[in-house]
Amino acid sequence: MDPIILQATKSTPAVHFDAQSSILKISGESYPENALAFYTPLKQWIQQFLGELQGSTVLQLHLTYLNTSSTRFMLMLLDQFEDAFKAGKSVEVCWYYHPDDDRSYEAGDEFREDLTVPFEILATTEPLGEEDR
Amino acid sequence: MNQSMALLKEEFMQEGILMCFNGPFSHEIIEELGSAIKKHLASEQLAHAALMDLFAIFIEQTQNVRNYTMQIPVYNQEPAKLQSAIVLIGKQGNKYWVHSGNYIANEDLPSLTARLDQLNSLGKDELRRLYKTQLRQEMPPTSTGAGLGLIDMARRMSEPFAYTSERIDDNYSFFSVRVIV
Repeated sequence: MDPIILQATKSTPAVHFDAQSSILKISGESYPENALAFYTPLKQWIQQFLGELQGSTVLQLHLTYLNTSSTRFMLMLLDQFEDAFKAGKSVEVCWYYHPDDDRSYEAGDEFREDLTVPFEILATTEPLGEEDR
Repeated sequence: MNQSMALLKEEFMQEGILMCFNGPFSHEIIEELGSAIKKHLASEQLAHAALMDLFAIFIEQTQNVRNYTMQIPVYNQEPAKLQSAIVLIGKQGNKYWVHSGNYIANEDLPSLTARLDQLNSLGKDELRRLYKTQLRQEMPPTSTGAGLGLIDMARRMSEPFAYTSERIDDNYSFFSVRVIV
């Protein structure tokens, strides 16, 4: 599978999806003009990745702002992990937020409420996308 | 012109207007103004959550206006005029606000004002439940997603939506709404 590596822009987050190293990371702000166009390739990539997954994987999210249409699409990606988890795959979600950023914590918490997939919310002072794992 | 500029500035000062954009809302303009809000307010003594609420309200409001005006029904007015909108960001006491104005087809007005009235009547817990329900609903293909955006703004605002509409002719009105963080 070809990786997806996208640099962040003002209104789209950085994306680092690499099947070989099993890194899936989205970080930044998301309020694109066309959320459907931005998120559809990510959804398709995840679908294939989770379908072929043998080991375990973590979806790492460090999102400081999601507009409402991005929130819809993020939920769609999280549902893919939820379905994989229910199908017995070893997957989890890690949501990072800056300790001063209450709104980012709350956004993660609202996603977590409706999911059963392991979902960790971690405070980090690392810059966007630079969390250690 | 110098004279009237001074008057305009004086009026802005009195109204607490910090930023203003008048014209068609392109995605780039929304991005630039959004960045300007964050930079300008970073120097103010403002809690990060309040800053993000202001930014989020600005983004949802301007994207709603952009989505609507891009597909506004065209009758007797020039599309360029109909697509031109206005947004003000200001401060009143210690509260920040976003105030937008745009043309609206008269037939679209009742459903919008009914929606705003409904949201104004709900408490934060009800808004939270409504948001979660709406988030899970499939969007009709023609939807611009404005429904969820209004709920998100309502969850973040500290006072009810304050809206006005001025009838222009049989087809259009000019609609404005102020959202106070």
